[in-house]
Amino acid sequence: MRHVPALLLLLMVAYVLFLTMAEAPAFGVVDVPSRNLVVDRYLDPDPEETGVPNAVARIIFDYRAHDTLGEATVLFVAVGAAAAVLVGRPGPFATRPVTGTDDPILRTVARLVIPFVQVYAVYVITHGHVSPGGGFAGGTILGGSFVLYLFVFGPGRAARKLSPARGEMVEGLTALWYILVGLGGLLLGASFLANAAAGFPLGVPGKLLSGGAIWLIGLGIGLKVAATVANLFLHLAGES
Amino acid sequence: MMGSVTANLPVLIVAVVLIASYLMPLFARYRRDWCAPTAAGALVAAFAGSAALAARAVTGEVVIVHLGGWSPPWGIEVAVDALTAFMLLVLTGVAMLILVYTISDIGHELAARAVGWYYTSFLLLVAAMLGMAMARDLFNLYVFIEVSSIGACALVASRDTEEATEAAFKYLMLAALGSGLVLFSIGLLYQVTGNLNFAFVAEELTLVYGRYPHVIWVAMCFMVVGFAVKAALFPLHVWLPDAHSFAPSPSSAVLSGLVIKIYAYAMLRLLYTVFGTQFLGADLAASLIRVTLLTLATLSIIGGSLFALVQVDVKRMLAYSSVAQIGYVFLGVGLATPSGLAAALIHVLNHALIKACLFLAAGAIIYRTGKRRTVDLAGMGRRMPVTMAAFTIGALAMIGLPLFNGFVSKWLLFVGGMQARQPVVAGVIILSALLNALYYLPIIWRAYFTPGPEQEESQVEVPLPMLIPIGVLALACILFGVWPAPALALVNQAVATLVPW
Repeated sequence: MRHVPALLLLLMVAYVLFLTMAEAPAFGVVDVPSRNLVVDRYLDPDPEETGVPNAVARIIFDYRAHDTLGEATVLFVAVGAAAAVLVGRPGPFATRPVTGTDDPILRTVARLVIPFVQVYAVYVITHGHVSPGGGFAGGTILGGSFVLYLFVFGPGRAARKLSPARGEMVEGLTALWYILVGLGGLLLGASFLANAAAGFPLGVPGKLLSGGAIWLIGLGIGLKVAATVANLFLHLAGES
Repeated sequence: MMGSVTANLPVLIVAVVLIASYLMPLFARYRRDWCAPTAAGALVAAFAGSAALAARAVTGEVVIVHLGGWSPPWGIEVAVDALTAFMLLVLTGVAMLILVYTISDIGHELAARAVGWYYTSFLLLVAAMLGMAMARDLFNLYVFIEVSSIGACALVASRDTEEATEAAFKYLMLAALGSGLVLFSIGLLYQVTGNLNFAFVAEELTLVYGRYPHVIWVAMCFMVVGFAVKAALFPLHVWLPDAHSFAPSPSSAVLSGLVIKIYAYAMLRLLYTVFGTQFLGADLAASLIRVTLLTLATLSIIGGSLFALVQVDVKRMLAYSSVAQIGYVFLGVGLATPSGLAAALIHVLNHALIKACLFLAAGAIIYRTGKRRTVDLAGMGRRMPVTMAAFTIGALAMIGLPLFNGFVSKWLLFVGGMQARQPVVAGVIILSALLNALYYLPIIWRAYFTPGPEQEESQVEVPLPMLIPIGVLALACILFGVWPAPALALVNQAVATLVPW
């Protein structure tokens, strides 16, 4: 009986939300308010002002690069928060520590797979501006290869490959890199985080070395995301 | 080049704090003694930049930056008008003083290894709040809300006690709920307007209001509730007492003094500029939202004070007092009159100064004597004369005695209530002053006029680096009480630009 008032309240909220959704513009229809000149410019098939065919990379690293700086900072603060909570304390797995495995099949497969995963991750990171993927996706794959290593060979050996100290350094320096590229735009006479406007060479759209600041920022984000994933797992596994 | 630096000054303020925070973990590992000076240097630079911007904004100038050179609606806009400059000054000024205190205090509260990360989280939180203050884009605002939410939780969780961890978890959950509501609201707004820039959304909203009235009202409600959770408006304040009392003292000061204010600011900015015509309209829904805000604010003021009255732990009492004080800010927002709004804004400054002063003074007492219970503070006026004097000034300012800054905001709010023909508001303010007196005065009385235990007679004042910030904050409480003109100049300019009355 205690829950009846809460349920009634929830039903009321649900009713209002259904009304709202019934009134809101439909999904998947061409004639909606969110289909406007903003989207047209973002999705322009001839990317001469950004030099990058991948529309997602264009938006997150150029038109709205400031948001992505914030997102990169969210990752940084997540690691910072995890470290502030976990450093010097028994981690969440203190009672059942992550030790790695002796299973020869797992170890052999991991050994074989990890190099390919990493090469693919580097490909995804460096080609983020011309094909789907990019720093965030590629960085997660790179971080994932480290997580696989950590689970198979144990956190001790993983920390010898990438020590928490080194991970933090990558984390901090790649975040710094983002701001420095942004400040580069400012020093070149345009505004913070400017790309073509600041004179970053856009190159030929579709080539590997193109896109100016978009490509540079993407590289940093790739390393940063990988370091974030690795650091979080190291902290959770009690290595710090 | 100099020209582009001045033109980009707002972003540079955020960038310099971010850069310092990115470097902090490295310094913590390899050059531990560089941490504190770098953090302090970054905040001093940010404060200087804010002061330069405020000098321009007070004349009515608005400094606008189009990030990456993309003009809105395509790119992200960041702007500093009088209101933003005011917030920047409050944030950087108070954060700077709290940081100075932190340098001496934090080694006692945290494990040595966690100190570097503490500075990181602190700076990230400040940078995020600065970013929120200057954001003119819904999603940009949201990104900085996220950074500040996690940063604030980290400041609570950094203390290695079970209570702090539990409080941080509660805070994280409710902060995430608040963020979720705000994000949902942003989604709805984007769906009906197709824009994220404040000015463009506001313009579109007036055009599409006839077609999607319910969507817009629901978006406004979600926005208000989301920010009310994060700003700890009664009865959505349940996370605050634990989070603010179990955190290390500098965290309590920054969380109570600044963090809850920035969410109130964000709500104020959105209600007045984005939802402007809808929120200030004369129709039933608009007045309903305003009345709801006024009611919750009133409940906050009375409820927060009543809960504070029964607390035995001094930090917990201060935390509940923050629930009451945030009510004043929301009261001003809900009144929607020039002097109500001015009162809300000036109270953001005043409460930031007072509450930071009180939390730091309470922290100093705990640092030296370990006493947290209000009844144990007997004789403290003799043992820690400077700290207790500052605490007394803060307490008197909180009650709202003339000559202290609390009086200025309460007076303006009183006038605002009368102007809006809401005599109830005026009554609430007087009642709340009495309630404040009921729980602050006994502490002062005991500290000065009840002798403490015999064996505790010696003076145990805290070191100078901790005393200076407490003293400066206390003096600022008096300064802005007798000479509020400079702050009011900025606030009046802010009110004038916010709404063309």
